[in-house]
Amino acid sequence: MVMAIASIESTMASSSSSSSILTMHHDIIHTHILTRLDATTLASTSATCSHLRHLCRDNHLWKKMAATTWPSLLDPAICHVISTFPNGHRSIFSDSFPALHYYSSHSNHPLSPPSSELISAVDIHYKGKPVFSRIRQTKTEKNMFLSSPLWIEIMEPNELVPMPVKYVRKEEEWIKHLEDNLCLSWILIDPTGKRSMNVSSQKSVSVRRHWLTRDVEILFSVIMEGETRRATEMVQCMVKVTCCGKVGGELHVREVNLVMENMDGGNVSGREGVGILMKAMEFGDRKKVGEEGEMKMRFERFLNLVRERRERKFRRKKQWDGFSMVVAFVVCVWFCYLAGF
Amino acid sequence: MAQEASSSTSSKTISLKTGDGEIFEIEASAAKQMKTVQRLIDDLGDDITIPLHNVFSKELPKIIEYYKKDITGEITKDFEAEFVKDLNDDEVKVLFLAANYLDANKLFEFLSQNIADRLESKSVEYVRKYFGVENDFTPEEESKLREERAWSFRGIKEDE
Repeated sequence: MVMAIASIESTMASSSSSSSILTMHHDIIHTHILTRLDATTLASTSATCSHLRHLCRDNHLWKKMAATTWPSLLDPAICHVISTFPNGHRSIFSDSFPALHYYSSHSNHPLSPPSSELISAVDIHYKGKPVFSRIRQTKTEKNMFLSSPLWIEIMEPNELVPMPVKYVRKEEEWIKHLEDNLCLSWILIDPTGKRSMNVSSQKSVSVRRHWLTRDVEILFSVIMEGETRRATEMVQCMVKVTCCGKVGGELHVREVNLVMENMDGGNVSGREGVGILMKAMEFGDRKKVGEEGEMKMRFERFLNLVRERRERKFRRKKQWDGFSMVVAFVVCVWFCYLAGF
Repeated sequence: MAQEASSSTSSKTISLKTGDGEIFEIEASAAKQMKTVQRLIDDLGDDITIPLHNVFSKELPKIIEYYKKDITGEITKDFEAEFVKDLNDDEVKVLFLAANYLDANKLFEFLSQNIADRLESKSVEYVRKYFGVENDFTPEEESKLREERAWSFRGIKEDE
């Protein structure tokens, strides 16, 4: 605690000198008040006056805040990467704290050269407390990665991580409980472009049980603009968390992975997926989610689009099959006629 | 000057004189929690009324009330909530600065958190008024700042 009895005694006029609180006590305000503010309040405080702006720009404040919000960012390798960003940990907040909105067409904008590596920082919170944190570095230039469907797996094979969530039998209540109390953030960091973004919907868009294995699948999704080709006009960036457990015991996380789906319901390739992600990172808007359930609504709308496309395709195929049969029949009759039957 | 001749510390009281000349009594064990007071006692002796030039009669009783509860180990979340319930922002600020002057760590930490809680999700104008600062940005700087912190416009209580 700062103790400067003499200086305080000589300058403090009266007990209600609130107008000079900042001038005389900026050190205690910085050390004891600013360190306790949340990210939103710190941002507001930095816009009050130039003196407070200077105090609020201290990267230590934002580093501490980032570590509290996303414990995965405590990893030393990630800290080092973020320290090379122009605004350090403050830029992580401006890029990854709000939701990503990337819908308007930017496919004609020239893109910076793609990064050779993407870092994923994943945190799961249950009832506001962190229960799972992991990072994963993904090399994006390997042929295997580029030619296969985009897939980033956070956990090791056969790994199981317990979560302090009871596994119960009663379906609906429990599924609602998980929907309301589980949050996931998946921050993708581009170390070369020095940007980041959150590709999760924060709250889940769907919780369901696998019909055969009875594993619980929790989905988080962000819809974004893809390439202009039909099937990838819009794509869904989906995080799937698969959990298992014994009734009465704790839920165990088995898999946490990121995939990208197109409007045909198929998977987007690594090459195309990385291109879309890089564009979203550079051009996407970061702003608050409008209303409760907005991300879930978008997810359901996307599912409907996929279903409609599939049905349209099926109808077209049936029509085409019917047409082909008619043509084949006519051709057959014609040949028979020519052959003199 | 009310001081008992008994050598037992628990019944000994210390006299504190505020900047506006009023005298308050506090138990020696409670005075120990305020390092500034303890230092003054060590320098001046415990027979003398300890002068506190920068603490006034409005706030010292509240501080004494807090530490009276503290030495009996009865400080709970409910007590703390009750303690600040009827205090306005200025009163909390004054107590905060007094606790800093007195080096009263526990109260200081509690009030720091309370101030942070009071500022949570408040608008820029509210925070300005709270710290008593003037907006010294140009309109261009303000609009750039607004753009920079657009990501944080979530759950702000008052209109920006």
